[in-house]
Amino acid sequence: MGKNQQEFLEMINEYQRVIHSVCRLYTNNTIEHEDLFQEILAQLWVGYQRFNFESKVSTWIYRVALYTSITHIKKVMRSREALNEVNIAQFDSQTDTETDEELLKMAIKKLSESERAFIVLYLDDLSYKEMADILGISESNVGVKLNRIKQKLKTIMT
Amino acid sequence: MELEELKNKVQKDDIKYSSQELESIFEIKTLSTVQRINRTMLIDALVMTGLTALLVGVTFYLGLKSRYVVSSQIIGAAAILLVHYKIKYRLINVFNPNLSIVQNSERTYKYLKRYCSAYYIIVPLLTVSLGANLYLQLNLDWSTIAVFLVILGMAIITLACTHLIIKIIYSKPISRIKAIIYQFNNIDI
Repeated sequence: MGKNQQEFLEMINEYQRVIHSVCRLYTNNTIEHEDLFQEILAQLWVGYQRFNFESKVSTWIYRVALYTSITHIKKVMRSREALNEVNIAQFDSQTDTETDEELLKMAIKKLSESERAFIVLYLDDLSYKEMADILGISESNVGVKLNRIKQKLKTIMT
Repeated sequence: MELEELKNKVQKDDIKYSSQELESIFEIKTLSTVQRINRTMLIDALVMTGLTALLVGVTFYLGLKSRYVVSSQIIGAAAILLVHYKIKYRLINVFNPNLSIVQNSERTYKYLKRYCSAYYIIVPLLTVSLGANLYLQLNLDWSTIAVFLVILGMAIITLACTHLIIKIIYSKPISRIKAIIYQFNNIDI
């Protein structure tokens, strides 16, 4: 394995949590998660040669991971339509904590691909500035969008 | 459950591949995928260039009277293939690592539109040129108005066909990219 490849893998190893957190919100099962992870890894490797290290490595990884997830989502998530047909009521029999968490996760999966990008970054506790940098919109827009998405989640869950 | 609670929970989750797992994913999947794409790109480029050179070579070898015209028509056809090649391999799903998501989408959208405009120029020009060439070969004796009308008709039909083909091939990626830009930029959705 070449030095370049070794350096790349060390970097991915350090930041793989970022890729996993993106995959988690854009997929429904382990197979899809692995597929998307591999897709993102391939995109990162292609882009690695052109990455000029002007932005933070994590910013670059978030950008590539989110863009790949948003654009490749149809290919990766073949079973998404099936998920949309799942009735939230089926979780009634579970315990309260599980139901709450599952409901929230279900509601997140019902958001659009771009809205889920905000949720990924929010759950990873990024600042508005970092979010704006990754997504390419203003910080104030990030704030407004996040508030609207939170409201939307509440509506979906009620 | 609120998002804030999920945030705390998610941050404690630790799905992780070991270094060995990561290395095997990279070697088995990533490198082979990238190599496969590179190989396809190279084959397409070689076929395109080789075929163009071969056809131009044949016209000169046969000593055709209008070999310069025919050659330029072949090069025009190659230019159409080149535009498709650029869109397929160099634009769609290619992410510039130094730009944000919206910047990337806007850049892709801008180039995609530009390349589509190139189709609208090259394809009718090529058709008109082929038509004119055929007219000269057949030694037809039409009036100037008739020639003009036929050329105009050909250009219009070709433009309509080009528009239809562009819609069939590129409307999906164009609308997908447009949707990304719109969803991120529009704070009302």
